[in-house]
Amino acid sequence: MKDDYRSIINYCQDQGVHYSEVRFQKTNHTLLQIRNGVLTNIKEGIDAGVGIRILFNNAWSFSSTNAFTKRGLLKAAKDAIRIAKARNTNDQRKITLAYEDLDCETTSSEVKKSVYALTLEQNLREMQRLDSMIMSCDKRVSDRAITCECHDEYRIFQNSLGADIRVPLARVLIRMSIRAREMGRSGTVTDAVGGPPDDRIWERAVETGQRIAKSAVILLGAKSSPSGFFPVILDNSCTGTLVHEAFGHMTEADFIISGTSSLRGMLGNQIAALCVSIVDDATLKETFGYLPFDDEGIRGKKTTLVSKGVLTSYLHNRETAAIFRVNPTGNARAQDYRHEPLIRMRTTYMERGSTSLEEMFRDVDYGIYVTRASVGKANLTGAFRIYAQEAFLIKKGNITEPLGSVVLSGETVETLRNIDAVSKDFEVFSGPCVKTQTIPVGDGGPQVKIKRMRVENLSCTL
Amino acid sequence: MHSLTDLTEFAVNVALQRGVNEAEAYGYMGHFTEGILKENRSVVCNSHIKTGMGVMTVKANSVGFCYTTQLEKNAIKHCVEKTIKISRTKPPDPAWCGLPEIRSASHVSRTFDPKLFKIECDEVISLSETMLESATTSAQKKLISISGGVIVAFEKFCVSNSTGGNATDKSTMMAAWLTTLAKDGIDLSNPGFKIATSRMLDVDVQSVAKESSTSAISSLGAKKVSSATLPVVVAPYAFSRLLKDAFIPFVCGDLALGRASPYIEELGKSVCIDGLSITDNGTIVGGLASSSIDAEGVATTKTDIIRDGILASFLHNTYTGNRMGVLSTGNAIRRTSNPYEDMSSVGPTNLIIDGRNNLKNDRLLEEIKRGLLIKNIVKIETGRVERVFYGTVVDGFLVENGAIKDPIGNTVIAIHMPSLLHQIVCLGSDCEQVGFPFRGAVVTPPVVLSNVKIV
Repeated sequence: MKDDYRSIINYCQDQGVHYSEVRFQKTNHTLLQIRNGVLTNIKEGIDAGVGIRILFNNAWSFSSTNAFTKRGLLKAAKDAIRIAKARNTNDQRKITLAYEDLDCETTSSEVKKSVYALTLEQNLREMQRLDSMIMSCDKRVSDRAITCECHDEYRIFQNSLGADIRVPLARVLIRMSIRAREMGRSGTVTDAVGGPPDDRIWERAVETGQRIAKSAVILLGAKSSPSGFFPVILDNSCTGTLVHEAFGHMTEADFIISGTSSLRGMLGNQIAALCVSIVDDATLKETFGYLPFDDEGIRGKKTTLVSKGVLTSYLHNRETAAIFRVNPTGNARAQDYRHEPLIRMRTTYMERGSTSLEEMFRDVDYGIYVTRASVGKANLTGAFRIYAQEAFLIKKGNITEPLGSVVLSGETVETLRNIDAVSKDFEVFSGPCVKTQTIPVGDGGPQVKIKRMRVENLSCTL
Repeated sequence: MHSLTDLTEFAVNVALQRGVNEAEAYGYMGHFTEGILKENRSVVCNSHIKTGMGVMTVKANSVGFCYTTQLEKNAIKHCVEKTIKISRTKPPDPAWCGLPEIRSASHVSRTFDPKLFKIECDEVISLSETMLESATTSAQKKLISISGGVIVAFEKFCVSNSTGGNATDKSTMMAAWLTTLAKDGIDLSNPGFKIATSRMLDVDVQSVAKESSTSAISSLGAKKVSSATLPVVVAPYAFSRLLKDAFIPFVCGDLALGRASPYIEELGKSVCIDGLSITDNGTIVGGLASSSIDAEGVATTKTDIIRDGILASFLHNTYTGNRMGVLSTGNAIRRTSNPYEDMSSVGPTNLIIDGRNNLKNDRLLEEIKRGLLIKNIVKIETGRVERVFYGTVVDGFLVENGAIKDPIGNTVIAIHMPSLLHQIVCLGSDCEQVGFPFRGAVVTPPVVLSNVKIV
């Protein structure tokens, strides 16, 4: 197999191609779903194929195929070259690529065996154990839906610079949706646990499941949140959503180059409070953003985006790194072999601070503690909204009554500048990110206090 | 090289030889060519050959499913073995009613265009570059971001099952889409988005470019609308997106079976204004979701869902139809972009919205003293318990005294999904056809919704 890819790269180079790369990916995919303890769906699948990307005559072209025989690969390579030749290449911007010392790296890993530890039957047993643990939390817990998705991948990456990288990658995502009911009222909370299939994943799922079961019960007594501007404390999940959705996408260099991100031209500027440092990190093995190599063969690393409030870097692939005359940050990621790599985040988080939670709350006379982010929406000018499943009223430094779901809105830079305390605790979450393509990412950080932020009540909208 | 029919029959035979009671194989192949525009230039040209097969086996009412992307006999055998293993893990489904008998179905015309089938990649790229050029020249240099593309697809699928039948369908599709952003000083527009889709080689890419850039430029200076309850004119594209989340799932048999549909007790009852009819029709000539057969090989047909305001039927595949005591309506679909990856569920083909006494489109605004015109909306989330659709308006305008006023931005609407049809007070006269990604389409005029909550 390896020689076939090298011969395809050689074929492309013989045709005058400037740069070529081949990505082989084989994924064993398993999906299990149970509802109220009963197995409702199992699915398995094997997805294998090859993506070939070339830079030819100042134009990218890409082809993919499921036929990774020599003949199939050659056809895909010829397709890529043919469509590159068909391009109108009077583009004024000359495409160049940034290189690294490690470009010719070859990994010694010959792992071909599945790295996935648990069998389908074992996962099913763990799901049922998780379900009963959740149910036993409180008799008001009525409906439970649990999904377990396992991806067991093996990737080979080779390019015309000599890279020959082979990596196994495995991850599990366990989603839970729990509803509690009492006296005609109901509260629903969803959450997910993701990461590599290590010994801890199901323990973490049980911890999270029990926590959200308690949250669902608390929501039974939730009142409507007041709407308006308040001092706000974000929990770790909301900090993660702020850092990823509201800020992280604005640092992706394709948006900087196109001028759509309002962080263009802001490198070196103070865009956040001094207590704020933000990182995009490919090296955290326990998160969904773990990436030993990106899809251009760049070794995964940690990139500091904000250091003590100052914007220090954007996220790059080889092409944008060359434009900015910096090293690639290893952020070229493709959904799978069918897609060309885009600039994407890995695990993006705010670094922990030095404030204890007690100190943080003590400073709030009347405010809102916002927890369990569900989704975040943002545009590249910095306007964002974060939807949270629960919130609590803070009075005189104490958490008082539970509130229903709320939406936070604001402007990214203004909000980052309004952060006046960053906690010592730290948590990272895993999930999918969509930017045309869907990829696994992590986000998180400490809990943060924001001097003033708009909060709207969402639970009683209609 | 084996044909899809050979390979699906092979899978079914292997499964039967292994002792299962029933087996079904869904084989798929697609060829896609696309010219992608990003950062105001033509950046990448893609060609994809996609193949796969989903195999389902049933033994003693236990159903297993597995898929593979490798259309060769060893991989298919391995896939069948896995499927059988899964069916042993799964508890029996007492309601299992058997696979449908696959019979020959009438061909639906204008779903396959030989010109699209034979189109060369340079023509696809040329179309995307024409669209880019049209957007650039039509926008008086205000556009700062142009992204989109043109995609041409040929798809073929074959279903074989243990009743001894098999059926095949092939189709072509072309889509051109463009998202533009305009800037004037420090004012950034909403994304201007336009997509046009056809089964034939007849998409006007210049018109896509013009509508997208006009939409972006006209949204400059957008203002947020403060919380209120207002009447809203919803243009066909935005309405199709609302229907996709806030109506279509509720008339699909699988949701109805789980009693998760608000319409479960409403058959034969009035669910909207008199005169409103909603029909699903998989046999429309040239329809974006037309096909001779559905995803389990049953002939597609026409089904009245709402007839003159009265709920007449749900949509079904064989399983859900049988559970609810009716026949399949030919609405088996496979939901994902790689259709072989899923067992059949239920979904629409071409959903047609029609009414009596429709107004001319340009008269819909006349009665509105203060309201909104929404051309595009993006779902934020649908609250499962409270059944509320939250969406951000990405292309919309304030309407005052029947006239279009300021563009709106950063505005979220909330709609109680079971009430959506009740909120329709009036329909326009001119329909547009809007396709969904991964199957399904809506043919609808603009509609006027009353009492829409602006969050």
